[in-house]
Amino acid sequence: MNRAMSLNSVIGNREQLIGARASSWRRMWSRLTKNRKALIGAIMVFLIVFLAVFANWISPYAYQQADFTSLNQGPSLSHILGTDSLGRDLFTRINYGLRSVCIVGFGAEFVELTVGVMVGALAAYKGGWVDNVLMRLVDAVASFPSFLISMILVTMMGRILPVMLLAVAATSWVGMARVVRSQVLRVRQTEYIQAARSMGASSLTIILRYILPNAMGPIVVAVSFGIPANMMAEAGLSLVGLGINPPTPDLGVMISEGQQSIMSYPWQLIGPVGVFIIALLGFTFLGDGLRDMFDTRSRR
Amino acid sequence: MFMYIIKRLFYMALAFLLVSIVTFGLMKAAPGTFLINTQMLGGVQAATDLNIPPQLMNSFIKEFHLNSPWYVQYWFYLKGFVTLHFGYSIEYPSLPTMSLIKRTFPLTLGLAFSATVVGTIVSIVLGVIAAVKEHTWVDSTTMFIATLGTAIPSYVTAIVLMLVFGVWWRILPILGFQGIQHYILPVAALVIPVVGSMSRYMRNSLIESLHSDYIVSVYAKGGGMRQAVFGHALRNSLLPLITVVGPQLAGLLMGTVIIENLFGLPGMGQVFANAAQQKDYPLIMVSTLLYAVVIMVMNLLVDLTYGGLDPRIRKIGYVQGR
Amino acid sequence: MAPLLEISNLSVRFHSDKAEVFAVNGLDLSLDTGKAIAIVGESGSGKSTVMMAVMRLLQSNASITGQVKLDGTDVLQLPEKAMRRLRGKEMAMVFQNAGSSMNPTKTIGDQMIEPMLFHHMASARDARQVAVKLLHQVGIPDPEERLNNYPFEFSGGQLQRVMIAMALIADPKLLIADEPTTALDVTVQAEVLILLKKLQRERGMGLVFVTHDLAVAAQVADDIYVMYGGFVMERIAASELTTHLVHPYLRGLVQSIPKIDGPRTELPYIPGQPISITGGLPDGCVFASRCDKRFVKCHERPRHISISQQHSVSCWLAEGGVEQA
Repeated sequence: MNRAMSLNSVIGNREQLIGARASSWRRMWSRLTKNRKALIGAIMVFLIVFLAVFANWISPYAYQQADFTSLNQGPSLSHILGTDSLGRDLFTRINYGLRSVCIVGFGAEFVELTVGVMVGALAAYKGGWVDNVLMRLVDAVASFPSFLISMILVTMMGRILPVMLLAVAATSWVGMARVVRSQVLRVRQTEYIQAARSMGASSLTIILRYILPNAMGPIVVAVSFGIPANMMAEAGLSLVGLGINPPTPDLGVMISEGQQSIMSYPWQLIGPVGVFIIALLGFTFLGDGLRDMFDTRSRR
Repeated sequence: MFMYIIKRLFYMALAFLLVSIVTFGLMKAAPGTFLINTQMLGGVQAATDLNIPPQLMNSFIKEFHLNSPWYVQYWFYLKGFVTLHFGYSIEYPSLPTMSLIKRTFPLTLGLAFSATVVGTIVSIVLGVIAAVKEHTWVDSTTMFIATLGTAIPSYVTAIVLMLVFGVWWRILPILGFQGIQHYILPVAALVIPVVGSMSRYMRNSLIESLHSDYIVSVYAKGGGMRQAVFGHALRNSLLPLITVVGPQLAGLLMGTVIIENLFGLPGMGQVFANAAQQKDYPLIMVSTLLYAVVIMVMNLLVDLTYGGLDPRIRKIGYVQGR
Repeated sequence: MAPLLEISNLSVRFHSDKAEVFAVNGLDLSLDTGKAIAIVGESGSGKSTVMMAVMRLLQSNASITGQVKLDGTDVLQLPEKAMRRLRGKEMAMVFQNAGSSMNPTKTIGDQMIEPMLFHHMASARDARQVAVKLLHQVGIPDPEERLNNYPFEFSGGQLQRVMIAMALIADPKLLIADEPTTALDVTVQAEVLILLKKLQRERGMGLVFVTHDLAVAAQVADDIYVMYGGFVMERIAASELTTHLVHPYLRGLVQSIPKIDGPRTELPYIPGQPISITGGLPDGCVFASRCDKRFVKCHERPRHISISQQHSVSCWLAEGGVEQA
């Protein structure tokens, strides 16, 4: 009886597996459209990136164009988010400021992803002492006072965009390394990898066809949470007086300046902070939604 | 358990060495740093660049062993920190850095500590409510608000709080540090992001516990929801929650740097921000290590609490399948 | 005397977003005090669902109809509060996987005494005395000290014994054992079975033994219920199992038990795979698609036909007399 049952269950499982593979992309798509949170997040992210990329076309003014006849104004038809203390249009400056924030957010994430994938995959592949040393290093860096290190780097190397980008990425790659390592380890252990290996698939085939696609989910999720975290760090640096040097407009610097005139001209704070919140929420909703889609455990 | 503690302490020492090397290396590499100035070359030059009075520069040369090779310098840097000989700084030439820290660090730690306590308690309460009401509107509303909390960093929350309570309603002060009411908004701003992520974690962890086999056993023994949650599931879901307290605390401590600057609170964070702006390297070197030590000690305490509460770690040092 | 447990026309369905699962379909069962029955079936046959329905421990997406009478009271009609008074006290359960069914962070002592505490039967201190005695009975050495140990400090077989002791602590009339030995090594399995049978006899409890293993069922139970696709295919006395069975499914099960002695022949098995009870049920006999004796009549659902007092079967073959089959 036992053998009959095990035989049956093998047949049953295989048919289920084939069925699951064929429809997984369609299911993923239907889950995305059903997942309102992810959809709203994606729209918000798209809006933010659109403003940043097309700042030149969208903005009604040039970002450095000062108008001394209209200083510190509230929202009006000619300046929909008001003007700053030099009479510059805030909406324009926000668009350009978003550009800086996005460059740091995406750029630092790219650096983190590159370093994280290299370290994480190396640790998972080599195992043994390599894994041990790399993971101790990752643990140690994770306990660094990360924001202070970023501050030191900016202090040392100057308040310009590439430095900000590296300063933000300097310590935060460890999270990505951990995610990549655990994913590669998880996928490597699964039976279908062992099955593929037993059928003589080459390492490259296994990495490209099996490990990467299956490890992708959590990495994508980590990226979509990493970008807003980088943006937070960038704006945070501005708030402790280490923002990008003028005249480059930067959302963090604008928030910092707006905060100094919070009592007299709150509008100069509301615009930048509002847009910043939209950007952060967009990425977080998107990340949450993606996680729900990829993570079978949290889907009940 | 003893081996577990030894292992933790060893890792902590490694991490400390690494952070001290990184800090020292950065300071050494910094353009115009005082650390590479010898008496013969550039010493006076750098002093004028950084506006360091000559007698202070001389004391630095002695204190940091600027005439010796880098490893000697590093050794005395490490030794000085470990033996709590913090020396002086460029900004405050007449005030020992130790006194400066004594004056400012308690405020920073107090902020972080009170935010942690409040945040943890609120997170547990909200997480339990959401988990017990899983899939109802109570759950989804709580978790949506929690998501907002996670998405927005403490300083943005702080600005929103300032606008609402300080500018529009004018019921709480947004600047200064005399009196308890000055601490309400800073602590609230630090607490909200912590609650956001920790209450979500608490909820998911408790739901996972409530769906485990041993909870079915509790019901099979005649227990109800109360026995299942408070007798079994809550304790088991608090264990994983403790592990996220560590990173949360580190993030929170970093948050205090910005929060202190926003609210004008004279804590260590403001000192550090000034030091960074003024390129006061001696002060940066000491305070970076100080923050690092606090983070590491907090992580250690978290790990030890976890180990002490989980009988599997307490008795055999590890958990199978983890 | 009325039976201790009497189930009539019990049906359980699970609702999910996508489909309805017909887990149990019109099941009848009865168990007298002091007797043991076994429910045998493949995974997915609904055997465990029946007993979880009796304990009313199914998830909220299950809908249960029919009657489950314990000592004459229909437990399906009881409010949850009254139900809680029965669980652990009148009827107790031993689960398949003792490792995950015990809380890993509480001592076994604390967990064992819970039924007595939940039902206000004794103080914690007195309950621990009872627990020590029981641990001794189930063959755990040094029970006083072991009480303070955690589940991970026990072997699988020991933990299953602890679970049995825990189920017995409030002296239930009905003990439900859901595959209690499946996760254990074969040698340990036999010890636990013997222990379970001995305790059942000594205490005069009713025992429901759920298993996928027909051989085990025959050792433990007086009566055997064979389930397939949520239906009882055949109910038969354990003593008549090899001589009087009727249903082709049961015949297939008996034949596919490997024999150690005798010539090595190809092991017979039942072709096809277990019926899927998700979505809907076939109009006819649920086993028809795999049955080597199916004929025209199998397109209709067979009645449950009584052959003798302890023997009944759901198969059209039984209609014309047993011997023909």
